Amino acid sequence: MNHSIIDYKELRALISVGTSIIQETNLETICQRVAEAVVKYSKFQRSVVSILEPDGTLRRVGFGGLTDEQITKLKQMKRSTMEEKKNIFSDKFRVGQSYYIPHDQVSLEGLKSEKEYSPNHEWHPDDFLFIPLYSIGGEIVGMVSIDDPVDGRRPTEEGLLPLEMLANQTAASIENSRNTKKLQEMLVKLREQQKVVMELSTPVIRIWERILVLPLIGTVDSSRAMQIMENILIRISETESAVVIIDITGVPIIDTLVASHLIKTVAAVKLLGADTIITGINPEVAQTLVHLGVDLKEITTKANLSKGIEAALDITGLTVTSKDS
Amino acid sequence: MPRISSIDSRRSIVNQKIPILKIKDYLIVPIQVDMDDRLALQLQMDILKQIEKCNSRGVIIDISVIDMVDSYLGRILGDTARMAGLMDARVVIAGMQPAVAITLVELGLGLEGVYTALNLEAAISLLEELLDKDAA
Amino acid sequence: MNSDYRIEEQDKIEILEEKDVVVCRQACRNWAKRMNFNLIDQTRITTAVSELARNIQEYAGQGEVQIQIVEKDMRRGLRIIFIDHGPGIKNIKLAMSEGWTSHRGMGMGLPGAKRLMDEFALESEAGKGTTVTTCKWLPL
Repeated sequence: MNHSIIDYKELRALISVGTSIIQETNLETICQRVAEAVVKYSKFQRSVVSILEPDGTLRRVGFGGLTDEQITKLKQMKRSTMEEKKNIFSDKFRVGQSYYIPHDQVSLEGLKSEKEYSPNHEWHPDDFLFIPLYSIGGEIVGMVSIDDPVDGRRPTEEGLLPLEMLANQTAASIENSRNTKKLQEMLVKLREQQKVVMELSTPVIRIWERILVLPLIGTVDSSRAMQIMENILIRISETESAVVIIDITGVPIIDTLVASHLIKTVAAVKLLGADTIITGINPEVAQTLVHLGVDLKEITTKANLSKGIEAALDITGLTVTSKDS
Repeated sequence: MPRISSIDSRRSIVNQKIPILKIKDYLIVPIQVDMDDRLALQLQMDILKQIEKCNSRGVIIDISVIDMVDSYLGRILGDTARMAGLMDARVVIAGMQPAVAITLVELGLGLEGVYTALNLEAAISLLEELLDKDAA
Repeated sequence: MNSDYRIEEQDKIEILEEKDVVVCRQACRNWAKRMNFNLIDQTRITTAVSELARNIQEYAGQGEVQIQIVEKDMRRGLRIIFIDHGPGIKNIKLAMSEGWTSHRGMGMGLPGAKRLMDEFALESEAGKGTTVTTCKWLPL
């Protein structure tokens, strides 16, 4: 009888599981599905999938063929470390990519098999079989522990091949999931930094009761223009201001998109019931605005910030007088 | 495919009339519900009738609790202001939320010719100013 | 193209009468709120939904709105699809142009909704109906 031949049905089923988990980004789901697939499609009736954590311990994550009590017990058990596994992952136990540890060689902590074995079984209830999960770079990222072969035989290189292929796909999925998470965290961080820079570069200052000033400096792109519009409107609403002065002395050039955002801002400020005054339009910007056909009738413009402030005070019913007069 | 149970969004839409309050020579219309199109059109008619009945010179429509103005409601508000104008009354829209203003502008509606004010108080000052100018 | 989207959750709302336009836009705002869209994006979404749901009610009488939380290229978005089996739009280019209107609204319905959303696709066949697929993405 040759039991070492590859079972193609098993192979196909396990590969299809491996392909389906590669898109999965949740580590827990990956491990659970692999553990269940092992029990469902291979001859092994119990499996535990563990992930190597940054602190060097192996966290048991996926469980197949185990009762809830057994799972709880396993989760409470002290996590083993890769350091402890060193004497197990040695060449003398190696079968293919896996490691088979007969019970009389090394004593390991684990769940006792509750099944009775007939004496002619090769597999002993306290035997262990581990398939390490290797990343593409050759690092161990986790481990699948399998137990209770239905035929009671010792594992062979060929017989383990389908499970090892699944293990490789599992390792790739775990790596993929971790990279995705890292990338997402980096993106969130980047976004936060961008936000801070944007807020710093668009300060809306309250210079007097009901008068806001926004000194714009530097290049304004579309997303910054949008941010400016939102900031101005929210600040007007919060402070119940009547006028906002946008000083663009520090803006060298303005393109169509930014000009249209500026016009939109003026229109939205009007809808809230406040006025906009634009100051400090330089010759280049004036040329651009006219060439773009921007209708400036709707917009109040003043030569410079101080003239703008005078006009704003006028709108709010205030005047500036000299002490002498 | 995942599916969640339908959010209980069928919270009752109040099918009542929007109240129109008369204070001195002004009408104040606080819109407090999310109106469907029929109710908005009804409100337009009610405001115009009330202007006629009370000889009002000014109307303040307070939309500070309205979280959305789409093109239909925008048109109703604009039309109401112009129609009231024909009846010699001024309309001020008060308290538009910043998010609503941005969305309206992006939608392409500037509500040209409609008076706006930050809040009820500013709206009353604006109306007094406008009516003084008319009297002069 | 649709296969790129992974649907996390979905629901649908039937548009049968005028009130359903309000029900629908309120429901969409709740979804947007739950997804943590900022207040301005919530308002953009609600307004676009109001325009497009009204179109269903006005031109086709009835139809349905599908609301989906989707994921694509690591971004999450709110996808809202408006389906009716009404008369369809004979001239899509005209319908998408500014200022065009049949009666209600100010002719800002379709082009306005397009500006408020990040994605906008209109399919229509005369006599068969119209489907408008829109999506708004959460900032990265």
